[in-house]
Amino acid sequence: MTCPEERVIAFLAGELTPAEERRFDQHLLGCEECWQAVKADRAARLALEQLRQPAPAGLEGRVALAIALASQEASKGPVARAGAGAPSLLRWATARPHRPRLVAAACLVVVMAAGAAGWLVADRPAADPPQLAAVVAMMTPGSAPTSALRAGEHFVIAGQALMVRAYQFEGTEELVATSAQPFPVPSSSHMLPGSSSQAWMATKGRLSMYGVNRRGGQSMFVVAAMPMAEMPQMAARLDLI
Amino acid sequence: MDDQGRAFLEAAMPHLDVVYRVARHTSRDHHHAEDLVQETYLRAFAAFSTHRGPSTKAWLVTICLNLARSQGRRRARRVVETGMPEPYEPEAPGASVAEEALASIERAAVSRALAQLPDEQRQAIVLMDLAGHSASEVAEMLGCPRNTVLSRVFRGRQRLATLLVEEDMNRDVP
Repeated sequence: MTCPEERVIAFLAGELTPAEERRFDQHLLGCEECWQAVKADRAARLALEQLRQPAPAGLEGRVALAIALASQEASKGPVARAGAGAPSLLRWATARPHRPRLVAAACLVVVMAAGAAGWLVADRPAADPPQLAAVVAMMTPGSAPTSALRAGEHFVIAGQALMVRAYQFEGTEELVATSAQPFPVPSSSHMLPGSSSQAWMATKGRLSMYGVNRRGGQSMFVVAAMPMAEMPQMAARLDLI
Repeated sequence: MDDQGRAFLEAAMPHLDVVYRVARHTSRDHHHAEDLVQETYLRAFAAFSTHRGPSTKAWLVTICLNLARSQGRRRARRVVETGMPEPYEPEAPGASVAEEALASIERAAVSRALAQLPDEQRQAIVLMDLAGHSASEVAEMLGCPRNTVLSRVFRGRQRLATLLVEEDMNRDVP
């Protein structure tokens, strides 16, 4: 610019005295360069307003979940951080005696569920791991889960033994899967590095998923028909975090 | 969640939109903006007990900026010294700015143009125009004089307007 840049900047920042501003207004009438600079500044600010957009849906829940995990870790102390602790729900769930079950029927359900889930996600670029897809397919929106599922049902999916149990949280169905082996993490998930274990979260349509893999301990994941922002509250109520 | 966690979320969550905007437009890698926000909040939570600053928003944004810088350096595998004064880049007025045309330009085009600005200009614009900080606050965050911030913002907006006009003209060419 041939005119002093500082004066244009001061004018745009509203830092000129009233007398200086009047003089600069007069200057603008005769100086095309300064006039264009002022117009460009205002146009750019107007265009930039389009970028003042809110955070994507789900990010708030994801961050809240990460903080909830970090908060839990901070309050557990060094022994628990070393991996000795498991959420009390997991201890409680795995301590229940095994009930007699119809293995063949369960396997059939799993095969059907996995098949249905595979069909549902067939056009997705990366299919969910079969264990996760099968549990997602067990969701029964609009109707109560079976009594077997409410009590905790055992399955073997893709060679992994797991137990799935249904819960209700404020009228919403949640399925919690636990296993002595770590669950495969879906490719679309976000890792939650605040935890001592491998924790992840993912969304799938209206479903939210949150999982924790613990080396040498019980691994689990929960799938619920609720926004991710509500997951921390639910997970805390179920004593998952 | 313990009291500390709840107190942190209460103080920090109202600024999620601003931190996301900073992450989205400061980091060269837009796909990692959400990861950057999450990491920002985790770092902030770890240091929350020592946070005494007057503005939680400015504190979060500063953490986000530092993380974006260090991640950028790791990706580039080289350290860029920014202590020297930036070279003056005169902006030719070029085509006369048509405010109406720019107002209608789509968000993606604005985002692309913003990404083309030099780092210092883009950062100053993001902090003032997208995060809503004053020039004095930005000067404190970036550790540079207030006039430098105003100059970077001015030059950045001039360049942005030129890029948007060019984009608009290209859009009209069959």
